[in-house]
Amino acid sequence: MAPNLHEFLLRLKALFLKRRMDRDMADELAFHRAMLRDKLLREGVPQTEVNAATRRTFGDPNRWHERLRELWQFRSLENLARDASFSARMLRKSPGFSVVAILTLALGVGANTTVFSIIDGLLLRPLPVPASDRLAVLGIHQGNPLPNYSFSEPLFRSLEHRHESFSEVIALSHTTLQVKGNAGSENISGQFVSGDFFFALETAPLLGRTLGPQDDHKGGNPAGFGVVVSESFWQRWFNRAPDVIGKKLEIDNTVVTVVGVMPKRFIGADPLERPELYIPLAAEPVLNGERSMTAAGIHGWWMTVMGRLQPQATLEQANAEMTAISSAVLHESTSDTGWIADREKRHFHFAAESGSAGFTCPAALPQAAGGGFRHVRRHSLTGLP
Amino acid sequence: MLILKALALGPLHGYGVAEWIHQTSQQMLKVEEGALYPALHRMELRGMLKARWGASDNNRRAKFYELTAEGQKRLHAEAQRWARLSSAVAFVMQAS
Repeated sequence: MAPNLHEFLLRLKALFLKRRMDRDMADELAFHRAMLRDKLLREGVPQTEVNAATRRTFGDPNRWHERLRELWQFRSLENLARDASFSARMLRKSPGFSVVAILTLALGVGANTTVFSIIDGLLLRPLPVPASDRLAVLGIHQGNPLPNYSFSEPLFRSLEHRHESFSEVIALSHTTLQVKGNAGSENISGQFVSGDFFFALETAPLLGRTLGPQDDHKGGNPAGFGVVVSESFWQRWFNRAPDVIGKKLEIDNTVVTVVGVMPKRFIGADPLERPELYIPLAAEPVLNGERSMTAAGIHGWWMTVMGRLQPQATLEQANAEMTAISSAVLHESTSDTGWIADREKRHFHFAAESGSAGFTCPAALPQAAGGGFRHVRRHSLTGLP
Repeated sequence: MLILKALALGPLHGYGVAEWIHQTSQQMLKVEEGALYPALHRMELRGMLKARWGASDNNRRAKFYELTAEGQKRLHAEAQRWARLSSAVAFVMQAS
């Protein structure tokens, strides 16, 4: 048997037969002492002095015993067990402190777990849409270390029909909508979406139809603006009425028509927002009136732009194309030549990056150090930041 | 090495080992109890010795140690090493 294994097995035995081993060691030492005592007596040491003499010769038996005991222990392991039992004793002694310490730990662990679950669910998982790995997020590079993810309406409208690598280029912008109910108005989380939004996300409605390019026109389609609602909104507002399609909603003093209901698993393209109402981008000037971002034209930076890659296209091809068309898009978006010249001096160009997790994808996380997720710098009315 | 040698002649208990070395060396060598037992136990752990409990001459319960094959080998090696070392030392000391 290998010496190490042999030693290990013996130690293991000692661990389980601790009491017996201990007694054996004591016996062994006692035997030695007894023999020594007999010998001293034989050698003529007087009866009265024999105990002292034995002790003098033999030394302290407890010390030897301790030495032997140590020899047989798994030193670190048993120390650990002793430390643990000591800690347990101390904790029992001061229950107040223990409770506080344990609660602190529990809360800490709980909070971390929760935050991680949220981050995981919101930011790290792919969007629950078909082929989410074909989605890309568009950004604007103009000489800054970080791209800017806010687009203005004219830039997007130009991009929307100028692409070849993407099957669709879409825009979305979060908003809070005031929906008139039976008991006053209610603020509902909503999203302005461009015409191809639902096509790019390839998700079928639960009821009715999705919004399409025909809805994203000034004034909407002939019946006015349509709105798509989430399943939870359908449940809460319409009590899952099957005849919800065609019902009217009064949003920000504008009457719109419910055209479809999206299934629960559909959360839109921005996992942090999860809107309940989807409304055409073209409805924004109507709903927001004087505060319209669309009216701010090239200077209103308020929307996120994403694209779905064509079946054969790669992200690199899309990037090359985006760079190539940047100048044309710029010129189409505005007639302000001074502004264009300023942008071009800064090498203004569009770029695409992976967006499988939706707008706030992991690629954006390292940039958090530089000022937050891609959510920063939206809705700014100044020039490009 | 001395302990191994003491046990080479047959099983002995700790006291027997100490006595044997003491007597055989003509009272020149004395093994301290504090060193003897840790040494015995360590050799038991390493597999050089085997221990069992038995009755001593005067019918006391005592722990007897005996050499294993491993211990025999070790004794042989140690004896050779000692022979070389002591002869070398003697050699040096005899040099004039």
